[in-house]
Amino acid sequence: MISLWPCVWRLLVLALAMAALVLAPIPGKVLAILTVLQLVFRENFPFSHYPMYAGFSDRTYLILVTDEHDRLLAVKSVFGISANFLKGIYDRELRRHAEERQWAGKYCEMPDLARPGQRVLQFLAGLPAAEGESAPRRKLRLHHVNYVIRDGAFAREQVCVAELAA
Amino acid sequence: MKGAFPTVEFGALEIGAMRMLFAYAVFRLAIPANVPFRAQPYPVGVARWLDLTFLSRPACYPVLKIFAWIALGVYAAGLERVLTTAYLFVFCTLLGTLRNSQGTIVHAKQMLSMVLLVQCVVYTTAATRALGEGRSMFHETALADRLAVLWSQEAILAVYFTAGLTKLIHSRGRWLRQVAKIPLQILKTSEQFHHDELKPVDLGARTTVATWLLHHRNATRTLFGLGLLAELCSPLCLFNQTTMLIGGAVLLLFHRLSAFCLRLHFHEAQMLLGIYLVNLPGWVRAMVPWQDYGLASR
Repeated sequence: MISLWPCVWRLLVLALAMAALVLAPIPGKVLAILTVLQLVFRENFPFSHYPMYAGFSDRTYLILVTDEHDRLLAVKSVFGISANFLKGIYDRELRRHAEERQWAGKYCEMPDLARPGQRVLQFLAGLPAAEGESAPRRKLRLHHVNYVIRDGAFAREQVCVAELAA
Repeated sequence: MKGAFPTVEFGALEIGAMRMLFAYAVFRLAIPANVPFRAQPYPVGVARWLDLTFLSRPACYPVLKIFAWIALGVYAAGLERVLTTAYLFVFCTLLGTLRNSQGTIVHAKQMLSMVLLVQCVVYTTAATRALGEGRSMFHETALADRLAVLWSQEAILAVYFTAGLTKLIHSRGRWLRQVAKIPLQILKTSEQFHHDELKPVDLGARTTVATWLLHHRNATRTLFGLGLLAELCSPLCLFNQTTMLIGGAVLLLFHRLSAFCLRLHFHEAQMLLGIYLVNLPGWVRAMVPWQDYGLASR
């Protein structure tokens, strides 16, 4: 059964926000219109509903890209994109992989991360080399790093999930 | 009550300073050296209907970039605001759309584009009105300049207000409880920061900070909860110039906090807050006596 509560909650928050803007002694017509447009159009540039850090859980993860000797590569200098952007690409591939496998659990707990990892490395290999990047590399490796809160402390687990000949 | 808010006045010099600083912000932050994306596998926005990969062609982007530099120069000089804001808005929007069509969303340049959008709307409306009144098509009044600043302030504040509402919507009202888990993000973003350019990061010190926050959950909730409060109360900045300064300074302070904790700098947001909300040239104009020597806009 589909729950209506998220939709009702969204409308309730929006209605309260608009009521507050109407009642407040400020000029806020443009602000109100842009707020509604941003919440409606969500991630369609230049609109955004800014969902970063809107929810938190007991675990998080990141990815690291290394060469064949497991030396960390400076992704901004080598590929021209940030590590955060790269993680977004990995998230996309995890979602795609979860849909293909019909995985209902958390994406990062999927047992087989090789395929999404491979796709991320292929994405990287398809990017033009950044200026000044000349270090020879035979392979690219992608490592999945989990951070979890365990017994009131942080635990870090790293595993290499994919490798691609450069 | 709607008519009770004080009118915010801006001087001509102050508006000129804002325009030049905004042009500098766009120049520094919104015009990359090159565009590495040769495909748009997950199109968003106008990329659903348009193939934007032409932006990454070596023969195309440098030309568009030069036009953008020229437009910025003309805009900063206070000339031809309609065409320059329109061109810069389209240019920045297409670049941002192509970047966000790679399958992941970057929240970096939306605020700049929104400010360009509202300024373009203001100047186009003023020019159309002037044309309707039989004046030059590009006749723009000082009123349009002031309105452009006011609407830019509202566009900036709309970003913070939206971000605050999304936190409530997405977490279904449980954000304050969940934010106690933010220390994990401190470790993650520190490692990602190091991965960017291999710049040294004191992971030991950052782990100490994260551990302290993990073990003092209510302090963490209070600290970051104040940030949410600042976002939700951001429209109140519009009350007058003093609240604009205070609100701008508070939001800047939280940007510094997130830069320290999460390595998230949001440079364009910080610059726009400084230019349009904190507005130091305006405070100088308001405090020194030469404000009355024909410098205030008429």
